[in-house]
Amino acid sequence: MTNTATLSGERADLLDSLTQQRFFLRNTTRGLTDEQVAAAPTASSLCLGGLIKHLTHGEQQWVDFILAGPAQHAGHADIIRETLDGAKSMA
Amino acid sequence: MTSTETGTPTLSGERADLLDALGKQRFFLRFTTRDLTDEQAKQSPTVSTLSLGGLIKHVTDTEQAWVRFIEDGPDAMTGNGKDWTEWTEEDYAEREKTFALQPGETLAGVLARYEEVARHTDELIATVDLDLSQPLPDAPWFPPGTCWSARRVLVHIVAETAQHSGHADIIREALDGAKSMG
Repeated sequence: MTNTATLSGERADLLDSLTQQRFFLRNTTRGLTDEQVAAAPTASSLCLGGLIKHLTHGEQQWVDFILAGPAQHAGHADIIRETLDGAKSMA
Repeated sequence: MTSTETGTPTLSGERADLLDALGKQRFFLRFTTRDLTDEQAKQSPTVSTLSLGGLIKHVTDTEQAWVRFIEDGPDAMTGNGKDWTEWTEEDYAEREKTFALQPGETLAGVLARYEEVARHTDELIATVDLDLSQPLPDAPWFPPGTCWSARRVLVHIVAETAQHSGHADIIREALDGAKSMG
Protein backbone atom coordinates (compact mmCIF):
# COMPACT_ATOMS: atom_id res chain seq x y z
CA MET A 1 0.00 0.00 0.00
CA THR A 2 1.46 3.32 -0.98
CA ASN A 3 0.16 6.53 0.58
CA THR A 4 -3.45 5.31 0.63
CA ALA A 5 -3.94 6.82 4.07
CA THR A 6 -3.14 10.31 2.85
CA LEU A 7 -5.52 10.15 -0.10
CA SER A 8 -9.25 10.39 -0.18
CA GLY A 9 -12.20 10.07 -2.52
CA GLU A 10 -11.58 9.08 -6.10
CA ARG A 11 -7.80 8.70 -5.90
CA ALA A 12 -8.00 6.48 -2.83
CA ASP A 13 -10.67 4.29 -4.45
CA LEU A 14 -8.64 3.80 -7.62
CA LEU A 15 -5.37 3.18 -5.78
CA ASP A 16 -7.02 0.66 -3.48
CA SER A 17 -8.51 -1.26 -6.37
CA LEU A 18 -5.30 -1.23 -8.39
CA THR A 19 -3.28 -2.45 -5.41
CA GLN A 20 -5.74 -5.28 -4.88
CA GLN A 21 -5.59 -6.32 -8.54
CA ARG A 22 -1.79 -6.26 -8.55
CA PHE A 23 -1.85 -8.45 -5.45
CA PHE A 24 -4.19 -11.00 -7.10
CA LEU A 25 -1.89 -11.29 -10.09
CA ARG A 26 1.35 -11.54 -8.04
CA ASN A 27 -0.30 -14.04 -5.71
CA THR A 28 -0.68 -16.56 -8.54
CA THR A 29 3.12 -16.89 -8.62
CA ARG A 30 3.53 -17.69 -4.90
CA GLY A 31 6.11 -20.42 -4.21
CA LEU A 32 6.86 -21.16 -7.87
CA THR A 33 10.21 -21.87 -9.51
CA ASP A 34 11.49 -19.93 -12.53
CA GLU A 35 10.77 -23.00 -14.62
CA GLN A 36 7.15 -23.09 -13.48
CA VAL A 37 6.57 -19.42 -14.22
CA ALA A 38 7.94 -19.98 -17.74
CA ALA A 39 5.62 -22.95 -18.43
CA ALA A 40 2.44 -22.68 -20.53
CA PRO A 41 0.35 -25.56 -19.12
CA THR A 42 -3.11 -24.70 -20.50
CA ALA A 43 -4.59 -24.55 -23.99
CA SER A 44 -3.45 -20.92 -23.98
CA SER A 45 0.14 -20.00 -24.85
CA LEU A 46 0.31 -17.72 -21.80
CA CYS A 47 2.72 -18.27 -18.90
CA LEU A 48 2.72 -16.55 -15.50
CA GLY A 49 6.11 -14.83 -15.93
CA GLY A 50 5.02 -13.50 -19.32
CA LEU A 51 1.80 -12.13 -17.82
CA ILE A 52 3.70 -10.23 -15.12
CA LYS A 53 6.02 -8.76 -17.76
CA HIS A 54 3.10 -7.85 -20.01
CA LEU A 55 1.21 -6.12 -17.19
CA THR A 56 4.29 -4.16 -16.12
CA HIS A 57 4.70 -2.92 -19.65
CA GLY A 58 0.97 -2.21 -19.98
CA GLU A 59 0.88 -0.20 -16.79
CA GLN A 60 3.80 1.89 -18.00
CA GLN A 61 1.79 2.74 -21.08
CA TRP A 62 -1.32 3.50 -19.00
CA VAL A 63 -3.55 1.62 -21.39
CA ASP A 64 -7.32 1.97 -21.39
CA PHE A 65 -8.86 1.66 -17.96
CA ILE A 66 -5.86 0.51 -16.01
CA LEU A 67 -7.74 -1.65 -13.52
CA ALA A 68 -9.31 -3.93 -16.05
CA GLY A 69 -6.03 -5.10 -17.62
CA PRO A 70 -4.51 -6.56 -14.46
CA ALA A 71 -7.83 -8.08 -13.44
CA GLN A 72 -8.40 -9.90 -16.71
CA HIS A 73 -4.84 -11.21 -16.73
CA ALA A 74 -5.17 -12.23 -13.09
CA GLY A 75 -8.04 -14.39 -14.35
CA HIS A 76 -5.76 -15.98 -16.97
CA ALA A 77 -3.14 -16.46 -14.27
CA ASP A 78 -5.60 -18.15 -11.90
CA ILE A 79 -6.27 -20.95 -14.35
CA ILE A 80 -2.63 -21.30 -15.42
CA ARG A 81 -1.61 -21.68 -11.78
CA GLU A 82 -4.37 -24.19 -11.05
CA THR A 83 -3.20 -26.20 -14.06
CA LEU A 84 0.43 -26.09 -12.90
CA ASP A 85 -0.05 -27.56 -9.43
CA GLY A 86 -3.73 -27.37 -8.43
CA ALA A 87 -3.35 -24.22 -6.28
CA LYS A 88 -6.52 -22.13 -6.38
CA SER A 89 -6.64 -18.34 -6.09
CA MET A 90 -10.29 -18.06 -5.21
CA ALA A 91 -12.29 -20.13 -2.74
CA MET B 1 -21.56 -1.88 -26.50
CA THR B 2 -24.45 -0.66 -24.46
CA SER B 3 -23.38 2.96 -24.49
CA THR B 4 -25.74 4.28 -27.10
CA GLU B 5 -28.71 2.50 -25.50
CA THR B 6 -28.15 3.88 -22.03
CA GLY B 7 -27.67 7.55 -22.61
CA THR B 8 -23.87 7.69 -22.31
CA PRO B 9 -23.63 10.68 -24.65
CA THR B 10 -25.32 12.77 -21.96
CA LEU B 11 -22.86 11.65 -19.29
CA SER B 12 -19.36 12.95 -18.95
CA GLY B 13 -16.23 12.55 -16.88
CA GLU B 14 -16.09 9.89 -14.23
CA ARG B 15 -19.56 8.45 -14.78
CA ALA B 16 -18.92 8.04 -18.49
CA ASP B 17 -15.55 6.40 -17.75
CA LEU B 18 -17.12 3.90 -15.36
CA LEU B 19 -19.94 3.11 -17.75
CA ASP B 20 -17.51 2.64 -20.61
CA ALA B 21 -15.12 0.43 -18.63
CA LEU B 22 -17.90 -1.76 -17.30
CA GLY B 23 -19.53 -2.02 -20.72
CA LYS B 24 -16.23 -3.16 -22.25
CA GLN B 25 -15.59 -5.79 -19.62
CA ARG B 26 -19.11 -7.18 -19.91
CA PHE B 27 -18.61 -7.36 -23.66
CA PHE B 28 -15.34 -9.30 -23.27
CA LEU B 29 -16.99 -11.78 -20.94
CA ARG B 30 -20.05 -12.26 -23.17
CA PHE B 31 -17.78 -12.56 -26.21
CA THR B 32 -16.27 -15.79 -24.84
CA THR B 33 -19.68 -17.47 -25.28
CA ARG B 34 -20.13 -16.56 -28.95
CA ASP B 35 -21.66 -19.34 -31.08
CA LEU B 36 -21.61 -21.91 -28.29
CA THR B 37 -24.27 -24.54 -27.64
CA ASP B 38 -25.84 -24.94 -24.20
CA GLU B 39 -23.90 -28.18 -23.91
CA GLN B 40 -20.59 -26.39 -24.47
CA ALA B 41 -21.57 -23.64 -22.03
CA LYS B 42 -22.01 -26.30 -19.33
CA GLN B 43 -18.63 -27.94 -19.83
CA SER B 44 -15.61 -27.46 -17.58
CA PRO B 45 -12.76 -28.21 -20.00
CA THR B 46 -9.87 -26.99 -17.81
CA VAL B 47 -8.60 -28.17 -14.42
CA SER B 48 -10.87 -25.51 -12.93
CA THR B 49 -14.48 -26.50 -12.19
CA LEU B 50 -15.70 -23.32 -13.91
CA SER B 51 -17.87 -23.33 -17.03
CA LEU B 52 -18.77 -20.37 -19.24
CA GLY B 53 -22.50 -20.56 -18.48
CA GLY B 54 -21.70 -20.72 -14.78
CA LEU B 55 -19.36 -17.75 -15.02
CA ILE B 56 -22.04 -15.61 -16.67
CA LYS B 57 -24.47 -16.54 -13.88
CA HIS B 58 -21.93 -15.86 -11.15
CA VAL B 59 -20.88 -12.48 -12.55
CA THR B 60 -24.55 -11.50 -12.93
CA ASP B 61 -25.27 -12.45 -9.31
CA THR B 62 -22.19 -10.65 -8.07
CA GLU B 63 -23.01 -7.45 -9.95
CA GLN B 64 -26.57 -7.58 -8.63
CA ALA B 65 -25.42 -8.14 -5.05
CA TRP B 66 -23.04 -5.17 -5.18
CA VAL B 67 -25.74 -2.95 -6.64
CA ARG B 68 -28.02 -3.99 -3.75
CA PHE B 69 -25.20 -2.96 -1.40
CA ILE B 70 -25.07 0.51 -2.98
CA GLU B 71 -28.84 0.97 -3.09
CA ASP B 72 -30.03 -0.73 0.10
CA GLY B 73 -26.95 -1.11 2.30
CA PRO B 74 -24.78 -3.99 3.51
CA ASP B 75 -27.66 -6.00 4.99
CA ALA B 76 -29.27 -6.38 1.57
CA MET B 77 -26.22 -7.78 -0.15
CA THR B 78 -26.53 -11.53 0.39
CA GLY B 79 -30.12 -11.56 -0.87
CA ASN B 80 -31.28 -14.15 1.69
CA GLY B 81 -31.63 -11.90 4.73
CA LYS B 82 -28.54 -13.28 6.51
CA ASP B 83 -25.03 -11.94 6.59
CA TRP B 84 -22.29 -14.35 5.60
CA THR B 85 -21.22 -15.11 9.16
CA GLU B 86 -24.69 -16.68 9.65
CA TRP B 87 -24.61 -18.84 6.54
CA THR B 88 -25.07 -22.57 6.94
CA GLU B 89 -23.69 -25.35 4.78
CA GLU B 90 -27.04 -25.40 2.93
CA ASP B 91 -26.70 -21.70 2.12
CA TYR B 92 -23.23 -22.31 0.70
CA ALA B 93 -24.53 -25.34 -1.22
CA GLU B 94 -27.22 -23.11 -2.77
CA ARG B 95 -24.50 -20.61 -3.70
CA GLU B 96 -22.49 -23.38 -5.37
CA LYS B 97 -25.37 -23.88 -7.82
CA THR B 98 -24.94 -20.31 -9.02
CA PHE B 99 -21.59 -21.34 -10.52
CA ALA B 100 -23.13 -23.82 -12.99
CA LEU B 101 -26.04 -23.97 -15.42
CA GLN B 102 -28.82 -25.92 -13.72
CA PRO B 103 -31.34 -28.18 -15.51
CA GLY B 104 -33.67 -25.99 -17.57
CA GLU B 105 -31.24 -23.07 -17.73
CA THR B 106 -29.87 -22.03 -21.10
CA LEU B 107 -26.96 -19.89 -22.23
CA ALA B 108 -29.39 -17.48 -23.94
CA GLY B 109 -31.39 -17.26 -20.72
CA VAL B 110 -28.43 -16.41 -18.50
CA LEU B 111 -27.11 -13.90 -21.04
CA ALA B 112 -30.52 -12.18 -21.12
CA ARG B 113 -30.59 -11.95 -17.34
CA TYR B 114 -27.05 -10.53 -17.37
CA GLU B 115 -28.20 -7.84 -19.78
CA GLU B 116 -31.16 -6.97 -17.57
CA VAL B 117 -29.00 -6.62 -14.44
CA ALA B 118 -26.46 -4.59 -16.44
CA ARG B 119 -29.13 -2.17 -17.60
CA HIS B 120 -30.13 -1.47 -14.02
CA THR B 121 -26.50 -0.95 -12.96
CA ASP B 122 -25.95 1.45 -15.85
CA GLU B 123 -28.95 3.52 -14.74
CA LEU B 124 -27.50 3.63 -11.23
CA ILE B 125 -24.09 4.80 -12.50
CA ALA B 126 -25.78 7.74 -14.20
CA THR B 127 -27.29 9.08 -11.00
CA VAL B 128 -25.74 7.67 -7.82
CA ASP B 129 -23.62 9.74 -5.42
CA LEU B 130 -20.25 8.12 -6.16
CA ASP B 131 -18.81 9.20 -2.80
CA LEU B 132 -21.63 7.58 -0.81
CA SER B 133 -19.66 5.35 1.58
CA GLN B 134 -21.01 2.39 3.57
CA PRO B 135 -19.47 -0.33 5.76
CA LEU B 136 -18.85 -3.66 4.02
CA PRO B 137 -21.05 -6.47 5.36
CA ASP B 138 -19.66 -8.94 7.90
CA ALA B 139 -17.90 -11.69 5.97
CA PRO B 140 -14.75 -13.72 6.53
CA TRP B 141 -13.24 -12.29 3.35
CA PHE B 142 -13.79 -8.57 4.08
CA PRO B 143 -11.45 -6.75 6.47
CA PRO B 144 -13.57 -5.64 9.46
CA GLY B 145 -14.36 -1.95 9.69
CA THR B 146 -13.81 -1.21 6.00
CA CYS B 147 -16.10 1.23 4.22
CA TRP B 148 -16.49 1.32 0.46
CA SER B 149 -17.85 4.20 -1.60
CA ALA B 150 -20.23 3.58 -4.49
CA ARG B 151 -17.28 4.36 -6.78
CA ARG B 152 -15.08 1.77 -5.06
CA VAL B 153 -17.83 -0.81 -5.50
CA LEU B 154 -18.31 0.02 -9.19
CA VAL B 155 -14.57 -0.18 -9.84
CA HIS B 156 -14.63 -3.54 -8.06
CA ILE B 157 -17.39 -4.77 -10.38
CA VAL B 158 -15.24 -3.73 -13.36
CA ALA B 159 -12.24 -5.60 -11.95
CA GLU B 160 -14.19 -8.70 -10.97
CA THR B 161 -15.84 -8.89 -14.38
CA ALA B 162 -12.41 -8.53 -16.00
CA GLN B 163 -10.88 -11.25 -13.83
CA HIS B 164 -13.69 -13.66 -14.67
CA SER B 165 -13.41 -12.80 -18.34
CA GLY B 166 -9.77 -13.89 -18.02
CA HIS B 167 -10.98 -17.25 -16.69
CA ALA B 168 -13.50 -17.37 -19.51
CA ASP B 169 -10.83 -16.68 -22.17
CA ILE B 170 -8.92 -19.81 -21.23
CA ILE B 171 -12.02 -21.96 -20.77
CA ARG B 172 -13.17 -20.97 -24.27
CA GLU B 173 -9.77 -21.64 -25.79
CA ALA B 174 -9.76 -25.06 -24.12
CA LEU B 175 -13.27 -25.78 -25.47
CA ASP B 176 -12.63 -25.22 -29.15
CA GLY B 177 -9.40 -23.28 -29.61
CA ALA B 178 -11.13 -19.91 -30.13
CA LYS B 179 -9.05 -17.04 -28.77
CA SER B 180 -10.46 -13.83 -27.34
CA MET B 181 -7.28 -11.83 -27.72
CA GLY B 182 -4.91 -11.58 -30.63
